[in-house]
Amino acid sequence: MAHENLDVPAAKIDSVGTTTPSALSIRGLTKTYRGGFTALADLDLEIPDGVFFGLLGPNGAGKTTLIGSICNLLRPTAGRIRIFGHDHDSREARQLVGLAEQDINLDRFLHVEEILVYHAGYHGVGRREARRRARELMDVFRLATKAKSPPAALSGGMQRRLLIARALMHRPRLLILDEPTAGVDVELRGELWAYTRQLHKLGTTILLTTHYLEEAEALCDQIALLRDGRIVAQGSTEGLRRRYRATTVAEVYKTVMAEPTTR
Amino acid sequence: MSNQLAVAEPRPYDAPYRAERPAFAWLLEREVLRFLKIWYFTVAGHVMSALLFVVVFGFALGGHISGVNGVPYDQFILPGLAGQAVINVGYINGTPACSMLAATAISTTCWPAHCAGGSSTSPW
Repeated sequence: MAHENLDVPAAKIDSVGTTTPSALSIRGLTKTYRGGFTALADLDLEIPDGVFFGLLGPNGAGKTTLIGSICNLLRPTAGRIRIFGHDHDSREARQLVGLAEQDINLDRFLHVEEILVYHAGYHGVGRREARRRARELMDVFRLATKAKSPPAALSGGMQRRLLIARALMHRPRLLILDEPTAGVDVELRGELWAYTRQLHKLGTTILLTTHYLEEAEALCDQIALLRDGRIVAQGSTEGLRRRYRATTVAEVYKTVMAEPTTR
Repeated sequence: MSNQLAVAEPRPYDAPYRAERPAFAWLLEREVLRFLKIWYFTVAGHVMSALLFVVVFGFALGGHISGVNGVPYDQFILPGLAGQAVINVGYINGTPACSMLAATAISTTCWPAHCAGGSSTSPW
């Protein structure tokens, strides 16, 4: 099935009539690794400002490659990525993006507070502001008692919370959460859902990848389904359900993934 | 999770990039901090190794060599051993920077800071 995207507006117009550029605009993105494997093939994606966007797909579909490309961790083979109108490798774009990776990759040489402070520093935040923000986020994510502990001394849930707190240190406008609830208990999952909802309400655009379809159903305004490096379906959750005559996102997912691939 | 609303306002999308402190300085500081936190590995090990060279080449073997162009052998070899220690420590601590390229915000800032941090904090 051809990629349909009829119910996704390209740009947002605020209350005073100013057009906000798309949070993320991707055109013709291709990533072929050195061995010849093409993880992303001529991918187009538009995420308007202020949207809670879900990116779904099976393992190996290209989700993490896409995120790596957006965050300038991978060099695309072809295509253009713009973040709020800025080229994705510009400093302005880097300041606007926060990434909580799928893998726990905390700096093992620093303690919790230092991890937060230095991460803000890498994005140009001054020391005083970085310390203030680190204290705030440690309070929010219940890490204050572990401020001087190394990440290895934290539980899995705490490490996950720290990863998300770190991504928020420089107040990003686009927050990318790569499977944030993988391997966390039900209680923490509920807390993370509530927190991401609040962030979204305050204007943060969120790009969420997950394998939990009920999570996408509960949180996301819009969803894209990725398979073999291509977007095979995209739209609002309601629009997709209507288009595929499904009652849940899980049914949409099953239907789309069962369709024959053109690749 | 508490106090959520107070901390979550995103930055404006059209604000120009402005660093209160350069990312390079933060990376350099982090690298120095890392170096000092594992001093037993980065400092003590290399100091011991250099001292061993001084003892073996400077004093043990040096006693059997009359000197080089009138300079006693232990004095002749000491600057070379110190230089070798600096280069070794700088190289060993600087090379992991290449693998850390992808981990931080601005990659063009990353590796020079790691290399400079690694080599500038050598124990000599």
